[in-house]
Amino acid sequence: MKKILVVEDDMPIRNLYKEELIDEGYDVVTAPDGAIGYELYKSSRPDLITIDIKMPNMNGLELLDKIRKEDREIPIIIYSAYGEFTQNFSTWAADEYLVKSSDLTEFKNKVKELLFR
Amino acid sequence: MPQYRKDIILDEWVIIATERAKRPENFREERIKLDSAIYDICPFDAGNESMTPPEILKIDSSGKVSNSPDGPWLVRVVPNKFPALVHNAEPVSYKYGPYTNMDGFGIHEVVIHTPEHITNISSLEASRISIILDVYAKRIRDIKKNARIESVIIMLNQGKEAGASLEHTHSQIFGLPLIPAVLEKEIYGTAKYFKQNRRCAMCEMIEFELSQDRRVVYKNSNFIVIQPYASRNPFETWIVPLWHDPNFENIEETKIADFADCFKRVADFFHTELNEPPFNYYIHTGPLHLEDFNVNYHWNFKFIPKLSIKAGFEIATGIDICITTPEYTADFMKQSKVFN
Repeated sequence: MKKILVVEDDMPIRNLYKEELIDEGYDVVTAPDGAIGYELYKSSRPDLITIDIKMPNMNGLELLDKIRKEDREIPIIIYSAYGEFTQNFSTWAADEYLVKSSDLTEFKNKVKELLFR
Repeated sequence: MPQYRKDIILDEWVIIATERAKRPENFREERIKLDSAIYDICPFDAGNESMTPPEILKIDSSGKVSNSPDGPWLVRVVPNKFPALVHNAEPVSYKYGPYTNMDGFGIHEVVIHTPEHITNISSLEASRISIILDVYAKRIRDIKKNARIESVIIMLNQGKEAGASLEHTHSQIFGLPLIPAVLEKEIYGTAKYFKQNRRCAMCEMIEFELSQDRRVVYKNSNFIVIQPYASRNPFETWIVPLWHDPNFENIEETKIADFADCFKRVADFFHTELNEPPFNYYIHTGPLHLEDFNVNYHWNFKFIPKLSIKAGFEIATGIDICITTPEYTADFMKQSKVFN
């Protein structure tokens, strides 16, 4: 079973992503901020990581940078409630950038696409 | 006494605050570093090419266009990985009550200026800047084949306050299905001037500035560097071709070195004399498919350093107040060794 690490500080959204991804047949671990997300990345060896940009204790771009220094291959989706980060080229270290939406169809499609590319 | 001055290109007024003019040397200040300085992974560095989409254009280490995806490079042009504008939409406009909207059709490309992690374009030699300018012309000529793209804007953000998100030097190319308001105002402004004076406003300005020698900073065989008479910003600097042509992309290869010579001197001046202020630059070239509409337009290149803040008056009126005089800044620039 493919394992996904969801790093998201907003608890309702974190739980929503977790439930939706479990329904899709994935094993899911979650972290409420970047620092814990990095620890879980090291300890749980996920197959894909989804990262919110705006978070306390290490934001999503810092976490992305920290993981990419160690691992160029692991698929990473970075997302934000704000489209402004499409103009931030630091996001290019991720494989995919998404704007948060209540419709998770695109999110789940991207997860599948990146896991089985 | 402060002075209203008319910008004859935009056909707009600006205010030159002569009495409270700031001394040019006082614009040297400590700068805020980009957040991206804290990141170790730069998607624009050599070795990280897989983090970007495949290139649209690549210049190899001999300065030639390369068709190979591998091998060393000097300049890469790639589409925006996460674009705000998409090329597979239709440029069709829709009415919504009194409003009009259009699908986000367009082209958005990133020009990576160098494989090394260089943060200031002034660190590149003039020969490397020539290659970048030639790449701009090549990309516009190619984009022009798309009849749905009406205009191309090429711009750079350097420094956080100028809007840069990554410190690795790069610029951006936007192909739009419309003519943006500032370019349209310049075209109408020059057309109005032509109607009244039967001459291109920019050609007349060049002739007058050369005869006065008050705001001319530098000149070579093909270009002039000036502080504009109705400057909106301290050290706003224009590089203008001495020959009349509405479109930058028509530039002959032999003239690009002269353009790069002016460019390099201005960038070096900002770096050495103003302590690397954040700045933007952009090329204004005439619309791609409106040759008759364009004929009186004169393409130009502008450096806009971020040395002052637009406040309520500027926002409410559209009238910019420049806190130093272009004559003062021109004198200061001419004294610098980079222009001698």
